[in-house]
Amino acid sequence: MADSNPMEAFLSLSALLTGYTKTDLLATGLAGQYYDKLSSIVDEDICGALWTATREAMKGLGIRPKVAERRIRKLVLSNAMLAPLAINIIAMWYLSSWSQLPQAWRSLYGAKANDVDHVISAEAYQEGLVWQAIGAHPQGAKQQGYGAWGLPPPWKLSPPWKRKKPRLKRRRRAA
Amino acid sequence: MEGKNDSGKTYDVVIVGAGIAGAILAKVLGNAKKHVLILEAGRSTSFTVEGYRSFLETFYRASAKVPNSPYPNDPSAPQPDVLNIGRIEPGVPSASGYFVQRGPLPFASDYARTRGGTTLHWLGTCLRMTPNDFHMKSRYGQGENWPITYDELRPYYEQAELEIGVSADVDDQRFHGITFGKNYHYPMRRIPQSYLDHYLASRLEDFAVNMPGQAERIKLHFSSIPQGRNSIPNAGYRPVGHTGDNNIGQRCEGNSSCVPICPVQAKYNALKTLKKVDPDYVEIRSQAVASKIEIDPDSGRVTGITYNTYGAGAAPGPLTARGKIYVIAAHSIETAKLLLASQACRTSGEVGRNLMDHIEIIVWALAPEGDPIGAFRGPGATTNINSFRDGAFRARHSGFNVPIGNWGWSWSCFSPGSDLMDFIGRSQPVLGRDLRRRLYDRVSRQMELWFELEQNPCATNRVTIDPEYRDSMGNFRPVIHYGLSDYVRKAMPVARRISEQIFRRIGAKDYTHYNSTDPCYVTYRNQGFFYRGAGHVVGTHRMGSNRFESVVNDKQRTWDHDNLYLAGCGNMPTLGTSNPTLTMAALTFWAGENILKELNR
Repeated sequence: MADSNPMEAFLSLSALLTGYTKTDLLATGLAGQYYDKLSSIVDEDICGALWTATREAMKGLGIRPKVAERRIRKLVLSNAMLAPLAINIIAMWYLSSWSQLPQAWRSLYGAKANDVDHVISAEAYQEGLVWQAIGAHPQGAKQQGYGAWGLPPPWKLSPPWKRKKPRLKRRRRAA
Repeated sequence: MEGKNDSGKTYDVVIVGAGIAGAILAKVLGNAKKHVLILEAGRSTSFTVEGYRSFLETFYRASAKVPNSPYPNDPSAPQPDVLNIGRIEPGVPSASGYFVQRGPLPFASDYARTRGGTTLHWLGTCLRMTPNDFHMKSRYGQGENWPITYDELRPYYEQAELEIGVSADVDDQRFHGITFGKNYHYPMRRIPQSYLDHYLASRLEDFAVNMPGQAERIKLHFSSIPQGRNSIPNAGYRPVGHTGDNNIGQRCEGNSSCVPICPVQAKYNALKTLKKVDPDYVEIRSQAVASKIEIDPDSGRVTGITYNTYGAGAAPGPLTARGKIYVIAAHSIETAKLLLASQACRTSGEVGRNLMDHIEIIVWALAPEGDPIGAFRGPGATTNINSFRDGAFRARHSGFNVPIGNWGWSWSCFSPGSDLMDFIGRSQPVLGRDLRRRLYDRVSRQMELWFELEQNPCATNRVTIDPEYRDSMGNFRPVIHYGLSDYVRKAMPVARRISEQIFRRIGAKDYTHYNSTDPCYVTYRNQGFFYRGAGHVVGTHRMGSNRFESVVNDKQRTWDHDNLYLAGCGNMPTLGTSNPTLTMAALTFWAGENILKELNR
């Protein structure tokens, strides 16, 4: 986990914050756009501090998610400089948009011209995680087909957050 | 100032506006081999696959996905935007957008100025009016009577339903005295109703609500909504798809974005009718903004339409288009504005007055826990509760149609974005799988009901012009005076009482709350509400049976100018409890027939 690659730290943090796996996140094809967006608005040393805190929180092989979350809450979300960035990372993944950082943060850590509310890109809109989280689809894209709206909503019985990882069957010893 | 005659040609008919009304007229007249010119203020971007696709991209990138978000505003032909609605302080108009709003309350609807007009972002609901809607004054002592009846309009409703390509079953639509011709069927089968519709209808079957001021309880009646949206065609009908490629959009695909844009054009828009006009007879001139109707002072006849062009290839000065007959079909607010700017139709003094819209009182709730209803799927609304569209109560307060919203709390609360921000904006943000679980749990149970209150005609609700307020081309901006009468306000608590009974009955938790800081916040007897506009803009150049109280006669011709017709929702003397486009389209077919008769005389 303790990888010095900042993109790796960005993905680890994103996975923990959003509740989606790194594979889910990479599959959107937008990790690069979001990482670049953050880097273009927030100074390098501040981003660096965020990645360091993330690595610290993820320390230890096979760390339990609950433990990692507790550490992130302590190291990132309780830190006035880093917390707004974490919130914006969630908003990027879910809503495909950048929200202007809080005024207090901007006056302390710098306000870039592109730190304004905006949708990151047309592709990002179509990959917003909020739509799959609510069991729907982005309005105007990834349509579900004629009459699909008359069907029961997905996951009535088995919501994805309850699904266990498929357990690998032990191979029986050959007789 | 009159301009140069643009081509030296005299057309049979010159039409202002390439929206649904102008398109229907052009098709009817062109098919009868009449030479037609349409002047459209907006651009023609929408007509190609690439152009239409660019609207979709703009929509994807828009922060606030409001009705006009896909359609760029052009300063040469500006359009209103609901994002510009602000609180109006006494004596200080709100003029940050295209409208100059003098209040006391904001007019809360918009329209699009582009080829295809506002049908690009309409929902597509195609309800007929009820027979009583045509004589509100004699029946309920409210509003006005129409100079025509439901039965007279019925054959034109059929033409309009065929042109739009309406999906509905006749058996679902017979209520409040609405009748259909023998063996009549809609072009396509009804659009499937949403899971939420079935959920509510099955739990509220035979449920009768107590209506304040009404002795007997009123039974809830649910009916599928007739929609200008492609479904399974009935025998003999071929659906019309995307105007850029007819293979696309042959059937609704469930994009859940009818307002503001159907990505595949499975939803009707006026481009489909424009595509069908005979190009040998119909010429459409875009980026041509009409500024004045030229009138001969002696005969009162119209002699030309003066307009300016903009963009590449624009003429240096004003041009004048000439025809035998003229039709203004530019949207109820734009048409009124053009008439006022031209000092046309002055006898009645009614031009610009009686501006009306449906006043949307939204109520919202969560279905019981563990009962996701699957919000944000399918067309905006697929079922109406139609019990309150007509009844004796209309003598006291507005009647209303009640669509069931399929898009969660998006209209009332900007869901699902606001839900996410609520969860992550807390001092202890909700994270990870917990965030996913709680988002699903909340948003998939969201439901809205839209109580669409009929506004009654009021002379003081009006569009005016003021030389102080002009756009970049020097044309007038609409100055709007607007408020809500007690007739409408009285219906607000009634709507609220009814919705409370409905939510209680199904065990849904009512979250409705009207913030008093909303620019559209109003009160009735100390109870507060906010309203939204429906985009159902009618009444500004109404028809009637005499020249002193109305602008056009039953033929849709102006009383004051023999060769000037008006088309559009502005001709409607009352709003009724149905979305007005279908009725307006029917009236336009009727107008086309009258124009043809006159040309062939």
